[in-house]
Amino acid sequence: MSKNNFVIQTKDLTKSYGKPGEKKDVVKKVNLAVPEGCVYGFLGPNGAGKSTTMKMLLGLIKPTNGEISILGTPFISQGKAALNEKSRLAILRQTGSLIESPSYYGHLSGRQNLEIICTLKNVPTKEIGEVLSIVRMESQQDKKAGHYSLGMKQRLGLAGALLGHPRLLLLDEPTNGLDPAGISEMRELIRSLPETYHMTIMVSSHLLSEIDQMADYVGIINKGQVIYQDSLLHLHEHSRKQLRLRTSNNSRALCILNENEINCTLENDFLSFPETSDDTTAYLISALVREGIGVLRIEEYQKSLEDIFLSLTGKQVSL
Amino acid sequence: MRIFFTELKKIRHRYIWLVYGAVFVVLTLWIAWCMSEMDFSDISGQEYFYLLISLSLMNSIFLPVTLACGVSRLCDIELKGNTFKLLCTMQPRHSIYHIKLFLNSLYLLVFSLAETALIPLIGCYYKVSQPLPFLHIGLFFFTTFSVSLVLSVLQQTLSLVSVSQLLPLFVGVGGTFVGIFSAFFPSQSFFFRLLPWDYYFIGCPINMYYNAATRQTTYFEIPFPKGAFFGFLLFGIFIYFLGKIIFMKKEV
Repeated sequence: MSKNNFVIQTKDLTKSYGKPGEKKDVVKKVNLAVPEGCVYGFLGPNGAGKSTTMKMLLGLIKPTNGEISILGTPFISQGKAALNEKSRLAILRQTGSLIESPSYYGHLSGRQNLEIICTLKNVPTKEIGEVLSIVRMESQQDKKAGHYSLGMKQRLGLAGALLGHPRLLLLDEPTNGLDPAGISEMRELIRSLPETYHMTIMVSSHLLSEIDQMADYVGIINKGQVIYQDSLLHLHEHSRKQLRLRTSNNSRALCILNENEINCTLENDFLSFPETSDDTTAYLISALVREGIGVLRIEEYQKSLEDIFLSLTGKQVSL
Repeated sequence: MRIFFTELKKIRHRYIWLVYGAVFVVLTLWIAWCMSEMDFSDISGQEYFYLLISLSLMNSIFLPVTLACGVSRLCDIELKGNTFKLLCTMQPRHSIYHIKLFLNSLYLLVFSLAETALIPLIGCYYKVSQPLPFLHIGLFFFTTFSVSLVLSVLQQTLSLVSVSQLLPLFVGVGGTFVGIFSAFFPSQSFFFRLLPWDYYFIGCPINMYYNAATRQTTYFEIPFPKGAFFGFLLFGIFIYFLGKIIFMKKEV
């Protein structure tokens, strides 16, 4: 494992498409750090570069530039493969993945699909029963995969990813196509994997609420750039309550509040500062009134995660 | 071996052998019917030559589209199920290309051997007078197998890189049309030698001459076109490398 116990680390990871001179960066200098044993939510609007980044992590797409380290082993360096094919596959054998739509052989049963993965991963077929029970598909295992619903195909894909007890699981929008009960079940399953099987999960989604309910860490990507990366707790701290105040003379009121060591900012017509105790609030109001400033409105305000996400991405989509 | 057995598991219920098997049965029935209708006095002492040229012509008509179907059935299981992105995390990418080519070449080998064995079997059954022309039969096997292999490399490249299987199937059908008209082209023409589907006929060591006045067909030996065939095999190697490079570069 790497010195910082990061299961995935990228440095300036970039992917560009197009002719020289007209190149468009789909992923721009992304620096990811996914700690071991966590659920890392990779959040971003549609087309932000989540799938491209995850495909680069798996070696399915060649990066234009940057470095990737998986499970402490350099994978890509200066945009070029740092490992030979055999070593690359040895690392990937310790990972499971479910990228975009699930992969399956429609003419074979669910169990036969898993047998193929077992053979390629060199995993005993006795694990099939275990992974089928984890995704609750034991009763459907002999049905042709082509006849499965999208939700069942997703579960089959997840079962395949779990074969061989990988240390790292990369799941790209795993709840796509699931009904509400299936989404909740999948969420609980993903949530339980780090503790039960000591796995690290990187899960992407364009739904903030989904990541909020599953992840410990979150990376937000927009237009190919990571604009936020830290623990979800830290993100929640951004949503602490604030007091918003409107007065007859906001600029004068700002000075008075700052003199009283209140970290205050002027936003549009409002003065905004962190929530204070009732006594302090009463004191501040009377101080403003004493200076002849009329207090027109005071209100408690809490930024939702959506507001934070929107202020970070500037997008009114995919929430 | 692990990858080979995985490939065998994948093609369960796909009945790819049936595609080649059905064509073999049709060719056998057709040639048996022709022989049973034939007045042997017309081709006395040339019966094997007749069989060789007839089967070469039938191969050039039937095999292009058969190969397109067989290869397509082998490749579209990956395209339909979106499996490349899964396979590429478990096996070297080039092995996906190679194992399909290898598996299809096994089908072709069995088909070519069976078709070659058919010639002496039919000859024995109808008690033909011509001695068995071993060299010509050997060349027939070589032509059938090598031309089919080159065409299957072409079809596989198209099948693996196309989103839809319609393009490779159209190419196969086009090859069949070329095959239908191949006997009408002058065999020495440059244009004739540019079409890979014609090589079933170009590689046939027998040609024929039809005398309209006497209504007699004469079959005669021709030298095997070594130069043209060597060029054709080089074309096959070029298509193999080109197809592999395109497949390796394809993003999944």
